[in-house]
Amino acid sequence: MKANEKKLVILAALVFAALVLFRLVPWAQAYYVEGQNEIARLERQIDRYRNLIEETGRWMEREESMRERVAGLDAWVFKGSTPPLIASSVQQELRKAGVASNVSVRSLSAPRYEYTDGWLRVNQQMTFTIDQDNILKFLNLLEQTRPRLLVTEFSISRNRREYTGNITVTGFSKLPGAKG
Amino acid sequence: MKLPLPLLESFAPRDLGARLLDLYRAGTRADLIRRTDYSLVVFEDTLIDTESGASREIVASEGLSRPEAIAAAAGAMLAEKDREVPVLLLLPATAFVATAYAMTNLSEKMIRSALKLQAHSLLPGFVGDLLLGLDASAPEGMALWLPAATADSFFNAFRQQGLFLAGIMPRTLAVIDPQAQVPDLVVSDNDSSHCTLMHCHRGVIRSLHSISRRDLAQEEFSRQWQELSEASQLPESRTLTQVSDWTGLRQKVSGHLPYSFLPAGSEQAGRRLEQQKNRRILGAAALAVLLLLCVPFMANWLKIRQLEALSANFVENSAEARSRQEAVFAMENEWGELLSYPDQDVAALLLSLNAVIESSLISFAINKGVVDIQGYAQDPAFLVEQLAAREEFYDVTQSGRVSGGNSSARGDSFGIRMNLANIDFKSYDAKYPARNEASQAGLR
Repeated sequence: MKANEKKLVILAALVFAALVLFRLVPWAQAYYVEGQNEIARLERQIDRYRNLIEETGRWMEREESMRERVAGLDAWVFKGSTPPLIASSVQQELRKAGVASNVSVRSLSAPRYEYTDGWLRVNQQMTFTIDQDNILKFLNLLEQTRPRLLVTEFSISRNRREYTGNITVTGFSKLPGAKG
Repeated sequence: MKLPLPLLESFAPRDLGARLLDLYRAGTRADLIRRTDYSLVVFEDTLIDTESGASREIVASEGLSRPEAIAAAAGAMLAEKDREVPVLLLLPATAFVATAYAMTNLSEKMIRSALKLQAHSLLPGFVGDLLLGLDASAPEGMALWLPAATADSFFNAFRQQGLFLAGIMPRTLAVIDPQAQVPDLVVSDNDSSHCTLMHCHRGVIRSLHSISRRDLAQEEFSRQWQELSEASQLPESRTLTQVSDWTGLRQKVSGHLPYSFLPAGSEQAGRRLEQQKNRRILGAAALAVLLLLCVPFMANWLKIRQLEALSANFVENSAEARSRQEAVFAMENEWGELLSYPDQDVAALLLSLNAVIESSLISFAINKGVVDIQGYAQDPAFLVEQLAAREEFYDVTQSGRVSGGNSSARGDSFGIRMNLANIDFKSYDAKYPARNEASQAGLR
């Protein structure tokens, strides 16, 4: 082998060594780590499935329970084609509960809308006066209202013989095209 | 530099390279001799394969040297065989020159070096390079010499026949076994032209005498030879006088390394063989390293395959549970926002407070789980303690100034703030964040 050829061979060996050191080794390391991660992922997945199999009975019970809960939920939801109509329904239900428990409505504020994924939340505030004896009745009526009015804020203070109160309730309505 | 230990001194760095080279060469020689597959004996005008017993006449013709004639016979004999394999050629002892030596207290290397230095004074008739055959493990014995040109002529002649001549050795040594139980053996090797007497002790040639048949015709020489023969008689002796003694050997002769002469070409071939062997070893080592490096990846691959199979099995077995779970998640996804809206049961809360405060509340307010109450109590601090002890409240604190009332019967006025347990609007708002109202104007 001539000197020039030897030099070329040494140069090629150096290039190869550099390639191995800077490309092949990091690649191999990354490939190995990738494999280890995949193993860890599969092990986690298997553990998850194993637990799932062990908990099949629990999931069956949970599904039954959920179905029972959900069956009545449709009645909790306000129906309406537009948010103002829904807000009107919320106001009506609130007023009905008030009338039924001898609440004197002093004012109703403008409804406040909150949009989330698939839902419209209508917040309605009302100020009122009420006798002490009717407070619990009013609150119980709200609890029983269908569609449901959920109390977000409630305050009441005694002013001489009567109580002045302020309540904010929230009604839920599904947005058109929402999930489910 | 004086090294502290004699052993280390003997391996001084300046000698180490030379010693390693010697070891390498010795290894190559030994490997080459060990590899010989054919041992061919030259007996008069016959070439004999000691293993098969096959023989072939060495035809001398004009223009053909003796080595060429022998090589031609070997070529004809091994025509059907694998010609790449190394051949050991066993020549009559008279083809070699023997000199006695006695060098006590010298190392093997020193004996060899000393003899090489004395070669041309010992054998002034030879002008060319001489190859030395010697077992220097003994301080005295016989050194054999063969002109390098002779060895090369044999090598080249064999190469012309497409044969590889690995080494040349005196044929008399063919019947010597260095490992034999009886240490001493005398071999009388005679043919039509010469008589040879060789005395070996554990494979080391102690004496070697040869005489031509023509000289034996003289009475004085005959008498001397007779005396020598009688003096050399030992219980163990072997006599080889005819072709049948060689054809009857029926074994491949292993070369005695110390007395095997390797032509330069053979040594080169040996080195090539060694390099090939080294390359093979390196290749195998590289392959082994590569396989070793692949082990973690293969282990990963096997583990992944195994886990995938296991996972597929679990997927199949968990179909029922998954479908139930998916149904639950779908319902939670659909109704979760409504279901998980914090339900503040204000009526129950008022009843609960009433049990503690006994109708002395002036005001009550609840806003997203935070309750503020004001009223009168005989001992507001005790009231705070009472409320804090109830599990439906936490973070119970006085929020207003405590002051004495107009009537001692009503007690002191107080303001208390507390949080309702199980009511967490912050988490709910974070989970179901409300978007900007204006962006949904189109829905109104």
